Amino acid sequence: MKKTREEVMADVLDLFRQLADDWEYSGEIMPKTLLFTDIGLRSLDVVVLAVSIQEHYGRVLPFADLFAAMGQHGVQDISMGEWVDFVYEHLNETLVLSAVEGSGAAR
Amino acid sequence: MENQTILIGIDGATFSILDPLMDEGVMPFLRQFIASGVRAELLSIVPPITPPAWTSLMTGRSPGHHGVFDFFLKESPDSHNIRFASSHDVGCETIWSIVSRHGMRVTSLNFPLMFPPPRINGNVVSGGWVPWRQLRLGCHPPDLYDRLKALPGFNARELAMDAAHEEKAVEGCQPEEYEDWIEHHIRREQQWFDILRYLMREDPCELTALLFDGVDKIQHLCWRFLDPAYLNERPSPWEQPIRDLSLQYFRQLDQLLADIADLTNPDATIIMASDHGFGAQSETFFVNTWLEQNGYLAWANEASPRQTDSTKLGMSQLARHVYLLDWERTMAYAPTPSSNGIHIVTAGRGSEKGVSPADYGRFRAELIESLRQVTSPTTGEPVVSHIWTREEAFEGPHMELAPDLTLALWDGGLVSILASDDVVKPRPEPSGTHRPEGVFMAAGPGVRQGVSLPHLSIMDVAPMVLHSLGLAIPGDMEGCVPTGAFEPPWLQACPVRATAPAKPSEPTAPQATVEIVYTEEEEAELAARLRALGYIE
Repeated sequence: MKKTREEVMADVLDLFRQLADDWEYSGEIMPKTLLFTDIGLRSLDVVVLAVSIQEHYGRVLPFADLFAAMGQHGVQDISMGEWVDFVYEHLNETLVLSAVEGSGAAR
Repeated sequence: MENQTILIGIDGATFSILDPLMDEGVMPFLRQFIASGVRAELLSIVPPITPPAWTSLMTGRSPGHHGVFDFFLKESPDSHNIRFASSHDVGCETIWSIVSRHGMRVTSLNFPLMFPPPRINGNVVSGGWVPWRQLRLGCHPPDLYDRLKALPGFNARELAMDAAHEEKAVEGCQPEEYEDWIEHHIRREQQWFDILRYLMREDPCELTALLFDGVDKIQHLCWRFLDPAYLNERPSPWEQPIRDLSLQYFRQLDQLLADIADLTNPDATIIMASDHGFGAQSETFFVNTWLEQNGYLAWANEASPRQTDSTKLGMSQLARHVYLLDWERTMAYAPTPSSNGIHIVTAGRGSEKGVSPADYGRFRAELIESLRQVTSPTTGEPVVSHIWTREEAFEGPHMELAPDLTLALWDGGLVSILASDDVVKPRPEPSGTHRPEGVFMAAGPGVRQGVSLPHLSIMDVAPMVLHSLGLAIPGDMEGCVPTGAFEPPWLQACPVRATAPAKPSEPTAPQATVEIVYTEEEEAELAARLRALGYIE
């Protein structure tokens, strides 16, 4: 299965829109939407969403490197588009997550 | 349903608190339950903290085998980065999965390290550090969240974790916040019970498990209002309501336990267990400051603000070590306050700097010896009471990700990872902190009555759960069925059976092969955006 950037964007937007009802977030979620400023997410929300993205694609993605780099460079927020860029960049190169529980597959 | 087992987790429960509460009549059901079954101290693992301890309870394996050492894990043995530990990191099969693949149904509620939820035959609501905004994703099957949302009184914001709110348990809160905070946990436990009751009625399962985690939180913050040794004989007008409300929490917990027993078949096995015990912490050891003063660690910014509050451990500073430390000059550091673990920076493991592999043994021995010399300004006694090397504490296939050293402090406390002017500071008030001695209580078919057993291992709970359901025990489980808990004739009729080692559960993550297609322009645009984030140079 081939994924274009647009398809990754659609996948990620779908995940966020699915959750947005629970958040009672009425704004439109678009590529330029900022996760912290616009949606009101907190650090742990973003960390947990990263785990969900990995679950969705069955891939281990280096989110820890992204978060560390953001912290180091004082980057305070990230947009949906940037989030998708990161996922898209790494989907093709990372490890397959062969099982969720029972294998320690995330390492 | 031929067999039914109820497993109730009580995070942080300790007999040093439960016994007085039972004696005072605050927990009459628990007193009666223990009289009808067995009790024992349940020894936790190293370190006795929530994520690895519950994972050991769920798998019957030690951290070196299941691979969970803390709330966070190193990204790889060579990396300084740490990440949120998830169910993807659990390296052994859990009892939920084992019971499920034997064709039985399972409900598992609020257990940590269960996010994303395993796709077992039954129901899962993930616990641990799952924020309310993602609780839907922590539910299995996928329609479960909407069914729970329809329950009267359902409030995701209170049911799930709020990191900022939970930090108060360990870091403390303002006097005026105590009452709201305890009441929050009273409402929260009620919600978890309401969900359990709904699922027990709508979808009875052979194995039903719920983790009440408010005990841990209440004890962290309110230890001095619970431990008889610290109770003020003449409580102030502020202290008395806090004590009363803390007792109300335990009174309500006792009622919920009674209500669960009422929902259960009369011939079911009920097991209650905690992941660790509790005690008082009276000092704070600023371990990274000690490492700095002894030349093992350097801050990137020497002028970084020093912590003056002796109660702060640095829960909000998790993962910041990556850019707060000077990696050219740091040889050892503690990345989290939760595990009391020290990592040694080893040259060749992702960096040319650090301790050379040839010098690792000498360096580690020197560090251990130096740590043993740290003394408390209050008592004059050593601050570090025990030090485990990772070979001692974490032998197993995942040992490379574990801290090189794990400390036990004299007062059982957690280290602070913050910068400070002083290495050890007394806390103005004692707070609650973890101890290895948790609780085990069980009653049911064949279980002896009114018997106090010698201590058990937390890894014995998983085999006991499997045995209670008539299942054989996987040969690689490190725990064993506590046979002393049973009447000998019953055990003869229902002997413990062993089977082949547990297997990884069925793959639950999507297995789609994803191939990314991008053009040169897209690649250039991508690089520019990631550079803006600081992700690439």
